[in-house]
Amino acid sequence: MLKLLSRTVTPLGDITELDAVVRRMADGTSQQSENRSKEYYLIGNGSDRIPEGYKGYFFFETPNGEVPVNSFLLEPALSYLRGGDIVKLYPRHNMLRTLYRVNSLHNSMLVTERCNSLCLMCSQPPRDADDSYIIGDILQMIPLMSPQTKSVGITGGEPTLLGKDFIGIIQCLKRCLPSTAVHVLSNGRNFKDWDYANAVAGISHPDLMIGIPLYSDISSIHDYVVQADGAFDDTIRGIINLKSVGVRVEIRIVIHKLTYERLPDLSRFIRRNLTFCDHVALMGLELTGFTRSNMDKLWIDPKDYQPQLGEAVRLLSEARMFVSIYNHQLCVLDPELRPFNRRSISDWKNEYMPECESCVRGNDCGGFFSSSKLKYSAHIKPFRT
Amino acid sequence: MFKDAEYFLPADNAYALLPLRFIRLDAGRYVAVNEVGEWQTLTRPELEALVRKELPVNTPLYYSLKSKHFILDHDSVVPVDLLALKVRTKRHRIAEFTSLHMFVVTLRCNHSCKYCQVSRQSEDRVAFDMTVAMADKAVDFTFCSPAKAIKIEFQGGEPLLNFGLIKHIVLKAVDRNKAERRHLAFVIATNLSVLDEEILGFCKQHDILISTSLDGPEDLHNANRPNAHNNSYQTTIEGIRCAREALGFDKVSALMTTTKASLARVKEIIDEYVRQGFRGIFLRSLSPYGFAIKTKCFDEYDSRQWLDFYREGLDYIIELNKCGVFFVEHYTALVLRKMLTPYGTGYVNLQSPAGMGIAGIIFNYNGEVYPSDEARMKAEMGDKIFCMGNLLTNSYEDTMLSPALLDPLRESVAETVPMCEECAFLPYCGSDPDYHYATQGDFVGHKALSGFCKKNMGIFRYVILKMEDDPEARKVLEKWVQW
Amino acid sequence: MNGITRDPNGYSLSLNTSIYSVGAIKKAAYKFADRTSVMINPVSESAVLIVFNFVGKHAESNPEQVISDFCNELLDQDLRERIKKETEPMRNLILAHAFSRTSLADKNQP
Repeated sequence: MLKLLSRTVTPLGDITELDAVVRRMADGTSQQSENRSKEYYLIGNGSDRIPEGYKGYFFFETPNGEVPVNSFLLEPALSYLRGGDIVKLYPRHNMLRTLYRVNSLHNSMLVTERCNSLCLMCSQPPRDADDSYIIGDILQMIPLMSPQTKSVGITGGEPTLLGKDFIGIIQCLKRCLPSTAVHVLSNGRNFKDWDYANAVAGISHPDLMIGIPLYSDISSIHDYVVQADGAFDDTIRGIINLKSVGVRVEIRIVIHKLTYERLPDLSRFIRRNLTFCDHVALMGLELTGFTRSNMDKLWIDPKDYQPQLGEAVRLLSEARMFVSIYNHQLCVLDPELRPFNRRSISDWKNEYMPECESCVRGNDCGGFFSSSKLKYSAHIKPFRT
Repeated sequence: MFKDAEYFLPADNAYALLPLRFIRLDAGRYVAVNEVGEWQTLTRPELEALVRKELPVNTPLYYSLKSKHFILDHDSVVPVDLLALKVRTKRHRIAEFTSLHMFVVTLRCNHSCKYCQVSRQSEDRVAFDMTVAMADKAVDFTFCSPAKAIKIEFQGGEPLLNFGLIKHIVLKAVDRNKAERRHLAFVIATNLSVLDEEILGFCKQHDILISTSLDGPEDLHNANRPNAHNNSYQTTIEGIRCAREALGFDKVSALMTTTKASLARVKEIIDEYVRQGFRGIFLRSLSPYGFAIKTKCFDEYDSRQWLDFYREGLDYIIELNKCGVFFVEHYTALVLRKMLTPYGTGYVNLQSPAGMGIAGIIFNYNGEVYPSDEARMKAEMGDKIFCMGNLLTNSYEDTMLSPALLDPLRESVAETVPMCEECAFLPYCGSDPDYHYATQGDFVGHKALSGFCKKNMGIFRYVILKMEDDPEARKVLEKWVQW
Repeated sequence: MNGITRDPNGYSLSLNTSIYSVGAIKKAAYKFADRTSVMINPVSESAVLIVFNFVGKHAESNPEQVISDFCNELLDQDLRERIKKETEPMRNLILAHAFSRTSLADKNQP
């Protein structure tokens, strides 16, 4: 698991950068950019070269002799940083948060920790504080990102709580990164306001998809899972509105003890009522955040719900809907489901278990969440051929 | 911090009914069907409890009825929006308007099929061929339809006896379509007896599909479709082979016509289709144009026999599928599309308002315009009640707004006629004004006396029961649905 | 079978119209036209006499079965009346939504 937040950033020498700030990295591979006065240079271990003119410098070993202004020592766990990556530096707190990695396929921007749901299995438990400062960081960060970035996620909390600032972020992405696909995770509830859905459509982003969770065909069960009364109706309305204005929508279903039994019924419901959705993602449970406190309600060995998962995939794919299985291991899936499995887990939290050592299909398989070390299927078996 | 499941249940056990119809399925079960064809089987006591608001809430049956939009409770009102969307989706085809345009390029034919009402054994082109002037008007008429997908089907007689006109029409339509940019498809319905290189070459060039008649094994086919000069079956098989070779295996399809002689031999007919490499069959019903004209009422014996034929055929086909042979019964597949998907179908005989004119239209060899093949057959037998106009003298608007079309459409809307309006199977069925006119003398017909009704109700019941009682059969049937 | 009398005219059944509406009776009779011909004769304010005739092509080996089925159909028609009465306004609302010129989504449902 990659460390994205470090609290051991040690200043070396004079520091003029005192306030928290978003900065892009540069290294030996970076072009000599005109922006160096705003960038931090990464000094590799054993390297003597300290190029001039950068705003600041990050070292991984304490250098001998004089250091330039704004030099900091970083812990070894951050040695994955490369030129082009973007971090937020908190000099007064000796903290650094990695916001963007140019070599990652899984960059995602958390736009707020506030949420209007409280899902039993929330992997990012909400905090009800004013974190609107994040918007400024993001608007600063986007122009610094590489235009070659294939895709970026927008997550929270609930991104649409930002109201028009959410629209502003998508517009900024369109302007600065026109070739980058944007995937938003939202509960969709605020899109019950047709004007808001239409505002998103009005951006005309070239490659935007909103991923919206739906956990049951029965309103009271969905509302229970997301711990919000009326959430089902709001979400369905949001989906209908978004599709009516031409925004792409993905339905996401996390499979656990409360959702697996009616998974076939939900699939029939989706293909009857929401056939126009662009993708359905059937997802394994992540054992982080609230999930840990609700294990008794949520945990089920994925092997045990293969029949329901198989039925769901059959029903949806027969209806010519695009279906994917995320966050599962190949050995746990029934054979006919394996073609639907995708490597979906963000690289920074993607791991394999001891049983996987001798497996020959490790590269095809999505592996596990780091958090799955807490508990995982009893049926993990390496493929020998 | 977390609320438990009970907190999210509706405040009370009250629920309201959403629009639904029901019908007895068999001795122990009823089926309820909602406005858009979603269905739920239940016992009569459960049905009573449902209607009297005494159904226990939050049970599997309750959840199923809620999910399928039969009931509304305080917890969720979005079913109303979803039902409206689904109602609109089911009827979307009507907005698409006329897609199938049939051109009767000649009445001349070289076969004497027993059930044919129209062809002429003649060399007289002047009397029995469509003229170029009519054909040109017909192409213009075709593109007046707003449909995004247009299918032009050549019929007769034997249409290839007037291949020159077919070429003219295809080229004209293709040329016109350069500006129109519709999805344009062509089919020739032919007995394949006059195929040659030139014809096949032209079909290949313009991706024209071939549809032919294959009534079953050799003796059955030849008994139905005699040809004075050679073995009709051999000609057909050889024609299929040539056409497939020239155009591609899947460019050739076959249709069967069911006669009394077919009724006892459904497995052999299916085997013949499998043997010839077809991936499906359309088990057609008996045409009413034989006995009904004489007796003026439907023959119940025939209806029962046909349903036996269908059930035996469907069971046999399902068994083939279970053994790994993918083979479809096409009428069932259409019905399944209505039962299992939010979509309607374009099949002209299962629509309400009727598909005549709206889904399909036919231009007769003499320039007259009819809303269906059956309607033009009626004209050939002396009754022109359905004649909408003439290509040479009437405009598109006058023709499409003719009372000859509007009256039967309006009078026969299933949602407004006795028995149909309360029938659970209404979302799956359609009105068939030309059938009822031919058999009972009016556009609506008394459905208790209607062979169309008996047949369709028999099919709907059988298919639903099959899906309920045989999970493996259900999986087979679900694979047939075209989404 | 209770309530059925047989006489030279056919079979007859007396029904209380405060329990079975005349509309339901007529609908059931219409549906059974292929099996029997039915006459509905008012007897009093709250009773009708149904006469079932089984002649000609309706000559039936089991008239009691047909009449029993008819009575079940009456119960079904009664249920249908209840359903229709309750769901008619909602059906009209749904159809109006479905076919209105404005997009459904414009409506901003409460």
